[in-house]
Amino acid sequence: MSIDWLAFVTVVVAALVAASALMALFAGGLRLGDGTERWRRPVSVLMFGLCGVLVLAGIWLVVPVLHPGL
Amino acid sequence: MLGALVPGPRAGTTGGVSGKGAGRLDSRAVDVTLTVVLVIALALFFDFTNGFHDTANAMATPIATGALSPKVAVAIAAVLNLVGAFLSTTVAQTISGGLIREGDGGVQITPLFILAGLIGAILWNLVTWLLGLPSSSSHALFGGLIGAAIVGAGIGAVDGGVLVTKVLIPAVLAPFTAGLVSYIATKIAFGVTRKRERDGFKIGQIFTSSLVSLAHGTNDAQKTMGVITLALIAGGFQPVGSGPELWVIGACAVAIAAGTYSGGWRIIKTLGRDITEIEPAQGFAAEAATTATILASTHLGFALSTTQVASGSVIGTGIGRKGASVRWRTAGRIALGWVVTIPVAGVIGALAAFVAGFGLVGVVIDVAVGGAIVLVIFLLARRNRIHAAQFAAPDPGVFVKPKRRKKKKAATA
Repeated sequence: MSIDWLAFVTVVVAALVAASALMALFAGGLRLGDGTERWRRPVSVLMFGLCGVLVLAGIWLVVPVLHPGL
Repeated sequence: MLGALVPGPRAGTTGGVSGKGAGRLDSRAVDVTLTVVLVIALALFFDFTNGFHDTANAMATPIATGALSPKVAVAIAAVLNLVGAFLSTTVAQTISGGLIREGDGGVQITPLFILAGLIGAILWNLVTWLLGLPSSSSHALFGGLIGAAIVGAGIGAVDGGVLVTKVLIPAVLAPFTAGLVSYIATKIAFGVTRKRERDGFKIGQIFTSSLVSLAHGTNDAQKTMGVITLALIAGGFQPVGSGPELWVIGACAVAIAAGTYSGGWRIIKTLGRDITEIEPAQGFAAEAATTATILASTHLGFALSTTQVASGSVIGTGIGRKGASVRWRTAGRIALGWVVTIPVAGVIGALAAFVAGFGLVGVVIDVAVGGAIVLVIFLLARRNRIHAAQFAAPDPGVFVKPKRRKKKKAATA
């Protein structure tokens, strides 16, 4: 009867980092997409693109066929 | 994995040889066949209730913010659950997760035992649906099986240590973890964006909620596949240690997708509307938190319940937005539902197991009484129906006008 606290803390930290990163990128993309300076738009698109990468990483984790060794 | 929890060759001989080997249909073979058929039917019905119980986990927030129309949301969730059920290869691992001491010196898992556990799980799932409570379907299944095991083999059949470390403590930690993640994500959202930009979160919500649905499909349909395969093995219709047949996978996928599509609007209302008002930025934050927490928990070895994670996320985002209020009475009701899920499903499972102990007559009584209760619950639900149309997003224009009038009146007064 022992609880794997290390695993729990890892889960909390991983979830915090992943959710914060996704949110920061998406929110940043929205913020920078709204403005007139020329540099804003490409940066905003880049941020949304990185969000897409995170979502793809999520799908990769969800579908077991894609990561047989994990 | 499955072989580990199958009661070994002994169960195979009790049911199996008389079922297949004798070559003639003696009454015992009929009993076993009938029980296995009933288990399959009940397991698929449980899968269906699992589906509509858990639609809310993924789709309550996009429906609440108007990111997806209700019908479209449940359709997406249903398709992703269907796909998810086929995608997972780690099919049908331990259904009781070591909660029940199986094999030598423990309980023999028989089809009767599974039948009783399923009745407990289904009835509790329907009661919580009637009350609009998001509660864990896995906990209901565990509860039902535990109850049946206690009647079948005494209290010693249940591994209390596993119950505490694998079920109870994670159940307490899940909503707090998801709540914290969701709170911080909400803070980031409102810190970075300005008000007029926040409608853009609706598009993001579609992706995050879809990911939750897919993850759900790869997990939850597997439980039912496990139950059915276990019953088939215990009844001697399938060799010990073999995986689920293709028709079992297909049937489970269809059952969970159909359940998901039917909506579970009561629970969607609780999670999407009753706990706190959700804006698109909050919806995105809650879903990002739910997705991240579930994926982290399934891949880093600390299993958390999807339902409890999703509920925690909604509460967390309610705390995170300035000016939003969390209705703690509703949250308390949900928490109470979680606390009583295992005991109540256990008591129902135990009663069903006790009655089933009288043989074929008992099984028939079990199913008849269970069916009658299901019917009563559906009739009760008709008195205050909650359906998709009630979630139709209000026309933006209609929403703005009354607000302006109010302001003018306040200014003149």
